[in-house]
Amino acid sequence: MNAKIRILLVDDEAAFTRALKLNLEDTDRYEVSVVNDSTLAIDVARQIRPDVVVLDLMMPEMDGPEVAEAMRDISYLSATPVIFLTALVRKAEEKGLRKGDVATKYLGKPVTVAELDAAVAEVLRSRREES
Amino acid sequence: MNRREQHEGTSRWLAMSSPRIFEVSALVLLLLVAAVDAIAPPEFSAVLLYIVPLGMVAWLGSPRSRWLTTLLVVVIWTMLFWFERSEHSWWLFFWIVIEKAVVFGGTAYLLGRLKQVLVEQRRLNRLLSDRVRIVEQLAAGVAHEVRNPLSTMLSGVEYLARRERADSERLLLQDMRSAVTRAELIVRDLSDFSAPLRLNFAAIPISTAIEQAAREAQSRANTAKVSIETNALPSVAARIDLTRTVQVLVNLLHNAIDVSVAGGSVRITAYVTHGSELNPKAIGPTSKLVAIDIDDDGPGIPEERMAQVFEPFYTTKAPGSGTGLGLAVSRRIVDDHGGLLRFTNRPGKGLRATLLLPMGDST
Repeated sequence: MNAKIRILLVDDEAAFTRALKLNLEDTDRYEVSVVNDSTLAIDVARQIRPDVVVLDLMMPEMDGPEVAEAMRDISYLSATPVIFLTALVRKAEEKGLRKGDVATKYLGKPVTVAELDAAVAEVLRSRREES
Repeated sequence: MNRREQHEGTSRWLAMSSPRIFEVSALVLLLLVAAVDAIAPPEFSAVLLYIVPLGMVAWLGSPRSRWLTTLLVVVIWTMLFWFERSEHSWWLFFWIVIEKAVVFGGTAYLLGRLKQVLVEQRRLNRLLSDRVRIVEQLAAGVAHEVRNPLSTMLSGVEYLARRERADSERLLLQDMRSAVTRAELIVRDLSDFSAPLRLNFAAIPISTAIEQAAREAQSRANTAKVSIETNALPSVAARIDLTRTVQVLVNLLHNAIDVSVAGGSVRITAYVTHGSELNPKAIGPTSKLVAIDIDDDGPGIPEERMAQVFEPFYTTKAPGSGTGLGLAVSRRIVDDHGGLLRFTNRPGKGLRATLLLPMGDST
């Protein structure tokens, strides 16, 4: 695998996405696109066709599961693995967690680069095994 | 029954004994009297004179009703005597009126008081459960809101730490990282304390949980120069959520280590005991339990403080070294396991923490 893995990072916390993008790109294995307004996530995903989408579970306007749901309706995005980031506290988030059908992987915040790195490797591996 | 259920049970009971219960019982009483009046000989009708005022008291239920009842009794008996005055002396009339007034007035007063007490108790309970709910929501909200900035900080520190740095800067970043980790632990305690626990029970060898906990507590023990000694463990399984049980044990070990002097030791013993340990009123062994004792040589807990140790935010540790949530969270976890956590002072010998857990199906 020579080409960099394209990650779409969707989180309304701009400072967090900036730091995480720096960290991920520092590994030299990832190319990270950031979206802070989740309503734009699908448009950006259409353009860049990410290998993995990292979604915050709770966001204003459109939350993580809703973005994932919308992705499933688009043929070339429907099989894209999703990693949810969650603060794992609120009821609304638990509901999202239980859905399970669209999710590939959940990571609790605060997340380390190593954890995210491992999660990306895992979802890509399981996707390869499926296809 | 865990704390939460107990609390809800109390509220249910109090909700039932609302003022409505007075109205219902008064109605039942009146119907009963009407029935008795219909089938009984005429003399029984006199009973009405006792029951109706009492029913009125219950019906009205306010402190004012005792005066109304007293007045009613006086009026009824005066009328009765007016119609039959030729047969009785006026002295007897006064005597009877005073007697009835005292009896009914007293009963009415007591009923009124009882109702007041119940209503007040119910109000306090509702207030308390509202408070608890608000605190829980607040804790969950804080935990959630704090995790996001923590994520940013952790990510930023990680990035900076990977660059070439002078030693002083490296140390600074290490400190920042451990500060973030500590804040995250506080948030975890806070959300464990406020959010419902999700437990995955399985029959797990007790040695697995103890050994894992001892490993996790080792670094704290090393820093404090305290040794963790594990006595020979019985090969039994407990029905537990491994992660949460380890969390409780680590918490107990940390507490024991914190009160130990350098060169001291913390001892872990495990054994099988009987269900009557959980419920001393139960006669004979109802079911088997796995008990884990953690002994330290610290100062113990003064008996008058014993009840407080499980209260959230109660801590004897220096500011910054304990959240005061550890034992509150531990107790919640143990409650949800159907187990028990208790402390006993070993005279002159420090403290013993005993964790009782239900035994697993397979051994």
